Amino acid sequence: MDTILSIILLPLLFALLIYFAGRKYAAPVALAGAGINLFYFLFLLSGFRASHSVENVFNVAWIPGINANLHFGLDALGIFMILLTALVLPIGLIASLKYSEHRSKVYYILMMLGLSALNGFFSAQNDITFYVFFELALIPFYFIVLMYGGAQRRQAVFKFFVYTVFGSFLMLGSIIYLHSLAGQNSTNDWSMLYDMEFSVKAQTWMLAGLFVAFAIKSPLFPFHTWQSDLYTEGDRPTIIIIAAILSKMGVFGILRFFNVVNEAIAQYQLPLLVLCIAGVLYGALVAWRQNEVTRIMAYSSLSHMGMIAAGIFTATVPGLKGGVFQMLSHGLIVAGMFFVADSMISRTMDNSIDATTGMARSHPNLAVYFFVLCLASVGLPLTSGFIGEFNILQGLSQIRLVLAALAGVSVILGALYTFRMYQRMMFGTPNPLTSALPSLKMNEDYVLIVLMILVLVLGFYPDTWLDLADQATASFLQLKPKG
Amino acid sequence: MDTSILLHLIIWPTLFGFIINGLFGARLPRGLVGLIACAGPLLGFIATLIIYAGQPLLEPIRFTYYNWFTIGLGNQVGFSVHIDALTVLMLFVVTGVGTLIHVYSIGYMRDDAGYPRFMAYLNLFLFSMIVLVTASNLVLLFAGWEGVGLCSFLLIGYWFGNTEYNKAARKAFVMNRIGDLGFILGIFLLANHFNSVDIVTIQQSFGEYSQNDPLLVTITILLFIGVCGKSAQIPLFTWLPDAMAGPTPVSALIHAATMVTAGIYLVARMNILFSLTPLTLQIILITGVVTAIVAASIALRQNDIKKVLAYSTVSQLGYMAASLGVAAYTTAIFHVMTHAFFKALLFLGAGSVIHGLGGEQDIRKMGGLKSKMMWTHLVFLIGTLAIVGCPPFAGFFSKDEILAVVYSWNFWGFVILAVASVMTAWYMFRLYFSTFHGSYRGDHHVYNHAHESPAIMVGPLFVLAVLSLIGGFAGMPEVLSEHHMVHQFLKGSIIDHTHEVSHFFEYSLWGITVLALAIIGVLCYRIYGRQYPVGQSSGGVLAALLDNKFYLDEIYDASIGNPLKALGKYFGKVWDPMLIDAAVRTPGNLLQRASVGLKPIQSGQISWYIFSILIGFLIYAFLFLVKL
Repeated sequence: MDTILSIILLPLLFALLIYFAGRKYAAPVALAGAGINLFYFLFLLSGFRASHSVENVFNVAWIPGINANLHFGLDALGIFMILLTALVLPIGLIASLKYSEHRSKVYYILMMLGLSALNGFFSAQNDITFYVFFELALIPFYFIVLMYGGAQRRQAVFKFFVYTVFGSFLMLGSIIYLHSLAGQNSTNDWSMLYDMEFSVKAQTWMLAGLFVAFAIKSPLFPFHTWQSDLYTEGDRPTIIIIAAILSKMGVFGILRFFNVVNEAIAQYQLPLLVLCIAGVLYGALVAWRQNEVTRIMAYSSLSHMGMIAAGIFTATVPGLKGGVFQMLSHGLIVAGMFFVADSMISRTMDNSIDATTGMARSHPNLAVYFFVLCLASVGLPLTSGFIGEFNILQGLSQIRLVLAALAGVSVILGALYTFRMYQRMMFGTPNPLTSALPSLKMNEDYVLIVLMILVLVLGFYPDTWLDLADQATASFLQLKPKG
Repeated sequence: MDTSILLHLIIWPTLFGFIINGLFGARLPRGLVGLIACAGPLLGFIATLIIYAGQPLLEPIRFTYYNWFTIGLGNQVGFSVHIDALTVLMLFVVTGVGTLIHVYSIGYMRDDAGYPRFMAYLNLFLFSMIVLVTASNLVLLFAGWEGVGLCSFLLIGYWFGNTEYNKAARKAFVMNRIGDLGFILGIFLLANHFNSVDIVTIQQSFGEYSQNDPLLVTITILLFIGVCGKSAQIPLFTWLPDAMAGPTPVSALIHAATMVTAGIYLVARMNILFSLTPLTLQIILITGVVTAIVAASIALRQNDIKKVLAYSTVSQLGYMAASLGVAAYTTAIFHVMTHAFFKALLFLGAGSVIHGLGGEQDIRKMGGLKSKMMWTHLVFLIGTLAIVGCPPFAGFFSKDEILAVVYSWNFWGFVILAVASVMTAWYMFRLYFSTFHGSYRGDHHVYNHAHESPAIMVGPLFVLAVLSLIGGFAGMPEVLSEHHMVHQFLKGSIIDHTHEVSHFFEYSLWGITVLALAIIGVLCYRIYGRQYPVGQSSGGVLAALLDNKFYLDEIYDASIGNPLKALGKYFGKVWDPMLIDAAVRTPGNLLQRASVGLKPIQSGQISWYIFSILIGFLIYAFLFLVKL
């Protein structure tokens, strides 16, 4: 079982177990599944040789008519996201424990299906597999947010749904177009696809379709308006997963198809960068004026995702490796942020940033964990956020200094809105309601401590991961003409 | 002794102090907390002393802990330490004054509920500051730079129950970050063009660049933006007076003696680069001179004892910047040193007054305290004489040197600084006399309880007083002595331009200084020393300008803050729900309407949509099969 298939099948097995288990065992079994997935993946990772190759391959003929294989494998790029998935999914499940009395077995089965599909998506080694798992990964989470969450969730989910379906069609269109151009040539793994030469015009059409699809997914400005509603109304444990992992599927997709459309990217680089940076600033400005915790986090996330995309589109060494690194880093940070939000909202039933004044006095542990996450979010040195943003901004500065300066303004705005949120939530005069709130449960403590340590470790010792990110994106630079 | 052990002793004890007090401080006895907190800087100080005594420091000591990350082409950013004369001098200031303020804090914060947290923050600050001055590359220096900013944020907002304090903390951090953005962009340019961020190697790679090369000018201006933020220069100085919300030892340590001088240190550290760009130096000179006079003029009419000292700090930082602006880096660092002594002394003295009066900070409600607080009065007087530049106190030598070097380059700069010196003398004597002389003007209940501070607070004051008294002799002017110790010591780290002034100028400057101080002293005693003028004298437009700090906060709010806020609000309230959302909703609605027309039963049913995706996918898959 050293193929990557095991981490796709394992969660399915646990889904089946949950189906047959009693209802009260659903949550523990799911958690066990997520835990085993994590450890199994770490085991796979320990055998990964730092190289440009793909390992642990599973490759079988699938739809012979279109020459499509079902092809999975572990590569440097995928590792980042599979690791993030393996780390964050248990966190989402732990967050859901406090609601487990109100969650049916279906909830946990869907979680396991989602885990399986995400692992499949991030390890997909050709575009057909990629597309199928892109869709598959959404379905379980659609259902969860539809079944659980706030009162207004139906509208929010519907919006989300229309958006993503629209994006999916564009993506499918691009892939069909790609294959119609590729003709009989085999496209059964990414490298074959990358070796193909498409005209710049054809690349431009593909890029347009793919960019919108992925921009909706992440989301990137201006395709983001499903985000803050969904993040506010959705089932918060699921939102942890959506914000941390699903949001990265978009930028991950851009990276996967980067070499297919690299000349188009080179040609439209400036408009793309400007759009991304506009999103960075837009998200930061809007976040600054929100008064609901989840909306601030949603717009903050919009801003950070724009930054990651901007780094990727620079097609420079630091921009690309910073972007990839920041996918992991931001995933951990945002998971922690929403975990904190969920912990607090589940206690107060109030999403306002003024609901818990003085919390730092009555709940000092929470205040410390949350603070460290906020520091990572604003990119303070020695946290993972700094490494990511430093590299991305440096990449931008290699294109134009003014781009780095503009994107860098979000570093200032980020400090403003993040500390505004933090101070209003945690500081101020303690009110009796706040001090009466139950303190963190042990599992909440552990989750936040682990996240805090990860964020700091990645800030202190980023080089292993930066090297891996470098490997994952090194080929992009060789192919890219100087633009 | 092995030098690497000394390096460890300088760097790590403060971090351990932070970790231990931060994690377990609440459960440890208070005495132990204080001991742990003070041990960090003290060990650092002793280790610095040993390095100073044992090494000629001809070559910098370098040590790399590990490679932090790699930028560009194999350009490794390490956790590496670089110790040369400049670093040693800064370490003396940071750990020396730091130790004294830690000790003082034990007394000052004794009754505060968050005492362990406070001591932990102080240690973290010191750690960041030590990283800043020992960093061998600009990225690590930047890490320390942001680290001290963070600690400043934490300590300004230390009493976090107070919303105003929180705002002040946020303002400080954000203003600093504006500067930090400039700093980091400068680092990017250096890394991109020279593929190095090491403070030594980078400065050896400008050989082929001529003076005022546009690239170098851009870099130095960007770095100087960072300096403006951290060292509170115009236009980014408005955070520093607000930062007085923090406990007084914080104001002394961070917002007077150490952190705010980090910008000065940065320019001195990169002196070879800055010397190549006279254009930037000119900008620095103008900024420094304007900052010095603007802040000094605002200080003239402040009534909060700490605010006076805060504006005074801004003004003194302006002097240091002006000195940098004439490429007299050593002189600036000399003033950093003496200023650290007497400004820490003044702040801690003020803290002693505030402590003794149960929290009172308004000088209109003080007066006649010299009998109640004999020792505090004495040391405050020494501090005052030092800052106004009275010979032979510490401030005299360094300020005199700044005036002389600026005079040799730019006459009008000198004139403005001289006027600022007169103002300095005025606001300081005003502060001194209205606090300690005359009769007490506040609540008599408070006065009856007024008391001298405990020995643990007065002790550090004495040490600082002695340093303020004799510290200046480290830099005897050329007229009096061949040996300017600071120049001798720093000549390996810093290459200054030569500044020559005639002996006649020096002597006349001293004569005028003494005379002016005497006149101002007497005037201030007559006005403030007997009976503080009651009621706010309305001085017309100028006074209103000064009282409102030239309306700078209001101007910033109106020109930058509020428009951005409005924009954020507009985007969030109007754009997001209306424009963008509507634009993307329309196709969705059309789709939905079409589906309503086609399949009335299924409108809006998500399950159908999922089903249709699958069907659609199958159709496409089928089409592929057929086509091929």
